[in-house]
Amino acid sequence: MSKRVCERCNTGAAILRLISVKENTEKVEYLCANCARAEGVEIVVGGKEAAQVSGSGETEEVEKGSREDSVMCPSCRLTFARFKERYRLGCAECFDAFRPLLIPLLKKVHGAERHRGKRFARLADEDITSGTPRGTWMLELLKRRLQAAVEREEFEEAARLRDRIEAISKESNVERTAE
Amino acid sequence: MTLDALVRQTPMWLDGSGAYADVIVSSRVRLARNLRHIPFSSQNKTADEERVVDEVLSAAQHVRDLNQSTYFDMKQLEEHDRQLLVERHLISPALALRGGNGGVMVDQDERLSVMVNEEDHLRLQALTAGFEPQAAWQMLDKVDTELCGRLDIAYDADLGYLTACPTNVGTGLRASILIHLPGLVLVQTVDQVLNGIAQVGLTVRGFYGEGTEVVGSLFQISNQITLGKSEPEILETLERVVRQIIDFEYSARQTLLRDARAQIEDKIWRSLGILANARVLSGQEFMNLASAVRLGVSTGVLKDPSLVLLNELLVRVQPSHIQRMAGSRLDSDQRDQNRAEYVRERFASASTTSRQTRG
Repeated sequence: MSKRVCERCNTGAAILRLISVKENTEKVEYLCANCARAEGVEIVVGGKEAAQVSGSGETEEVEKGSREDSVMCPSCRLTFARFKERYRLGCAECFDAFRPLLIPLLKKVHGAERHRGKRFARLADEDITSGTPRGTWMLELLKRRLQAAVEREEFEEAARLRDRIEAISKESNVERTAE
Repeated sequence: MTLDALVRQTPMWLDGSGAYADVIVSSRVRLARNLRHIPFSSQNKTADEERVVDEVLSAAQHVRDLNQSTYFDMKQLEEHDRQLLVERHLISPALALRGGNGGVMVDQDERLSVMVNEEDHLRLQALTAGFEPQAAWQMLDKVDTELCGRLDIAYDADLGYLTACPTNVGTGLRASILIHLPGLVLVQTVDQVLNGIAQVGLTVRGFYGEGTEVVGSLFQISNQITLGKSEPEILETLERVVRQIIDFEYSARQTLLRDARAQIEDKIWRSLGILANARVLSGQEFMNLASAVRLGVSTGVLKDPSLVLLNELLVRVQPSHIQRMAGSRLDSDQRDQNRAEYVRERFASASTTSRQTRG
């Protein structure tokens, strides 16, 4: 397979196709990395698609937009493009993945970018399980789930649920005797 | 508490008490919260949803204000019964539609509720009668500290509480005031008065919240901004603006009774007459007539019925409530007849009682 040579310097191997739009006419050139850089093209290693860039400001905006769109949250795999469609974040980590893109948006919506309200504080470990657990719905919910798991023949899940039900029933029995 | 018990009781937030009860029906505050390590509802799976329910309910067992409450599992409820919870303002229309592993914890007097697996993992809500957003916030703040303090909540030092929708980021707080503005509607200045409030970061919604219609001159006024202001600051702005709207409403009522007393009294008495005697009553017609009667009661034109009765009817004559009370499936014609009958009975017994007291 013969390699294409850069159309500017005629020496380097052409690695990309540069499409430039000027006064409604399109010019296509095959360039090497050096000549492309000289044209102001940013080359990102690992980029799969052939870069399509031009001198006109308009297309550069489009380029920037599509770079933003492809940003993906490493945790829930939501892309920024998908976020823009539905306007819903996918998980807590999205806020780190999209932070530079979200800040201007939050500023527009709220006129601010910093939280000034209540601060989240986790209770001390010993306080988390303090107080008598009285709710009966947790047990009811687990029992219903157990029944469903048995019906679906998911026995591992059923065993896990049975253990939890026993633990909770025992816990509330102990509390009741203590009172 | 069963659904049947729920249907029979009048929720505390409709007891007609609280400040400015002649204009403000109720105040509601809600907080949006998410668990850090589980995807939000748009990206999660059934197993994720179940983990959310497990973690939230396990934590809630240790919270004094919640551990006597009832958990309604959306999966276990028929569509009509989910709708019934919407009619009582205990869940959002979105949760009723979504179904899945969603649910809601409701306390005995329906002042507190916690939706699980709505758009956010947790939506905590406090409802009070009258113009009492601060009281609702204090109640909710405490529950939030005790419930969410037991969970690993998605919180960022810069952005505050992280929520599925960017419009809730920060405090996650939405405060809404359910306000009755028949005076402003009648003098046709309500649009003018309400249009200005967007500039101070507030918004107007319908009876059931976002995206719902305005019926019976009942509006919900709530904050739009959740980031960059503290919770008390958000509530203060809301209170200040609502107080102005209340003044506008009072002066509209005064103008009406001064310039068109006969016409207004006629409208009020006719509305009462229809409500007390109709044999077929659609939901929409009820809301419009009840609005006129409410105006009559709050301006002193009418002695009966009480605001509590009007409030009670506000939830009880809605389609799913009518259906549940009948105990069988009804088509809309039959519902309109049942509604008329129920309203008639309640009005008749209310006026007998007041005649006896006066007698």
